[in-house]
Amino acid sequence: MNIIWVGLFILSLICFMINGDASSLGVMIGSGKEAVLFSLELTAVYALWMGFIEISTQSGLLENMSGRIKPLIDKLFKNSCDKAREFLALNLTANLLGLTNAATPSAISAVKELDKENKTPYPTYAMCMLFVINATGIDFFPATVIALRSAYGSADPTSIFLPFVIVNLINSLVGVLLVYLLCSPRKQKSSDCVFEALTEGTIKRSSSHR
Amino acid sequence: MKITDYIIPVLFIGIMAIGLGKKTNVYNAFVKGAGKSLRLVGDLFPYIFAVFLAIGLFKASGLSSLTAKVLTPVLVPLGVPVELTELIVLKNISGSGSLAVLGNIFKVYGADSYIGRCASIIMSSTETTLYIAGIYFADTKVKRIGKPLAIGLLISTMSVFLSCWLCKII
Repeated sequence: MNIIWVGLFILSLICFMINGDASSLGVMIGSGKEAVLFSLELTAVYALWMGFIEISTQSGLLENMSGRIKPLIDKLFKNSCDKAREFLALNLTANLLGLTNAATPSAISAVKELDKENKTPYPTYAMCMLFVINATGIDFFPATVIALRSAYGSADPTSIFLPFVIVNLINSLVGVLLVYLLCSPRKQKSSDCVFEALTEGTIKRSSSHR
Repeated sequence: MKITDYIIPVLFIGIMAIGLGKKTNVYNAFVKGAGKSLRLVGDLFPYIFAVFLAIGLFKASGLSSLTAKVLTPVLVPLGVPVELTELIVLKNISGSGSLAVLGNIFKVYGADSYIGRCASIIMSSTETTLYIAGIYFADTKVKRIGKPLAIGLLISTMSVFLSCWLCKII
């Protein structure tokens, strides 16, 4: 994120200079204002969802629900923390219902819970899985795009539904598979061990040379 | 109303009914939960601000159209129409920005054209990966998110090709 952000920033500013465009400060302030407005909007949207999430928590609905899909969640995320499981269940449900706005606060809460057991700067397997699932968007109905299509006079706005479902399914499957193959905790550990063994070996060798 | 329009009202009524059934103080619970939102967004704000700043500069400086131009000779031989390159560059970065581009594509080429259909599926098949990466890990010790980010971007790229090919068939 660090490299991407700095890279975007510096390259854009260089572009401004090359184009002889003096509006960069104005653009930055404008984007800043957009960020403030967007945050205010988010506050309203999250307040609504977090209100209902709290009702579900206190009534025990959330616990009940996450208990029911516990085997699925534990297998998918390789997670054993109860608190995180509730948020993961909530996130999955929100995603499946197409409620992106409810998915984000639950994902953030889940990552925070998972982070408590994480002692490294690297994301855990569960975090990787959660991120990729949300980034690839398991979604059943592309409401925004369909609304926009009908607004621009499409004869059949929902005609994209079949290819959409196919692309989405493949996306999610490949995503889960890639995380499983590349981020699995056992694999990471073994490669770490190999790395440690290698570095230790070279250190020992170099010291024996001396 | 379509079936999907019933999801929200049914969901909210259901949650409240279950809350009442379990003798929860629904009003107090709602207020408590809603109150947390301000703090959450407060924690996220610096990250949202930073991401928006970079996106704003990226779009206004002409770097985004430049990137689109650079990518064109790579994407076109692989079956991706030239008209979609800007959308492809933007969709990983900015939701509102790419939605504006999508609207423009519909206006110029028509929502039912091949390009319009391709654009619809590209737009709806993945989320704004970079924004999610910036927000999800905002308040944690996690700093090295290269691996999941790479997977997310890879899938996003893959879905572009898939969309374009599928639109030719279906």
